[in-house]
Amino acid sequence: MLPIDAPMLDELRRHIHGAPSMLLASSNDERRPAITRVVGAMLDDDGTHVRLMLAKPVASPTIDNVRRNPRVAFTACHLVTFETYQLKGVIVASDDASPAELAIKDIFLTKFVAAMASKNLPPTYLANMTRLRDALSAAPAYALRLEIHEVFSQTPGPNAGCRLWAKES
Amino acid sequence: MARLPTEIRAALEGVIPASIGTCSLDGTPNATYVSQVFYVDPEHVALSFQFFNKTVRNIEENPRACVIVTDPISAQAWTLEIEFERAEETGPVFDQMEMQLEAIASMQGMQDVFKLRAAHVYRVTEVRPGMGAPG
Repeated sequence: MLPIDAPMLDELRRHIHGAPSMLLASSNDERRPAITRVVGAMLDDDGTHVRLMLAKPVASPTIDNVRRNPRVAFTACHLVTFETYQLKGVIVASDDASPAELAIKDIFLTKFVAAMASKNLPPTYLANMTRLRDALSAAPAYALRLEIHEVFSQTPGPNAGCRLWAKES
Repeated sequence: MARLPTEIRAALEGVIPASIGTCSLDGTPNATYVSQVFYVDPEHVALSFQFFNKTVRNIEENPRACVIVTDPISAQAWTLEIEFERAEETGPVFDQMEMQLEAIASMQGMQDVFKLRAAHVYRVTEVRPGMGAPG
């Protein structure tokens, strides 16, 4: 197994820690997919795992799914450039978020809403996003640990879906 | 079968990109963004098919998908459980989606990237209002 090379790791870290829009897809025993938004993420130093924070009020279907089928897809999309990466792998741990992980969530929410404000969106929407940020900051969260097996480019266009790295390659 | 509530219509205008989750038959999920979730009638939506990507391949294997759409004013999010019914390459739904996609592409600077191949029509099986979560 080859590790993710340093330039790609730096790129993924810059991308994931830059307050992108983030999604987590999972599925139940009957292959019915569920999707939820991720409200904080941090790539481990060695690039083998990423920690994902999910707001408890919206995360129940995902938590139920990953306890039965740990395979997930995590997607992060830059709000302005639409540069997108997808990481696929398995959830190896899911617990209540620690104080440090809750702090990661709060930093992400603040940066994300600030990034949204730079886009040409209706002022009422931005005001409501700020209200949601405050509600989510106050909400409890789960922290999931995703072991990365594959990395894909998913930037919109004909090359979306191109595999950049695989654990077994 | 579920019915789309009237108040969801603003979330289907394409202002805030929607997200979609699908799953292959071997149980591997996929998460991505979609340009359009288009209102067809109270029981159906159509998604834009632009590229032969993993979402399309998964839907060919397993027709079930989960979509999140967001109201561009209230920031209210909605989760839709949907199942693929048919692809339309001509007709009024295709024409309206093509026009709306051009507007979305222009808004996002994606005129050279977005091109509608077909309107994929899905039956809505469940609708849940959710906490509009950033992300």
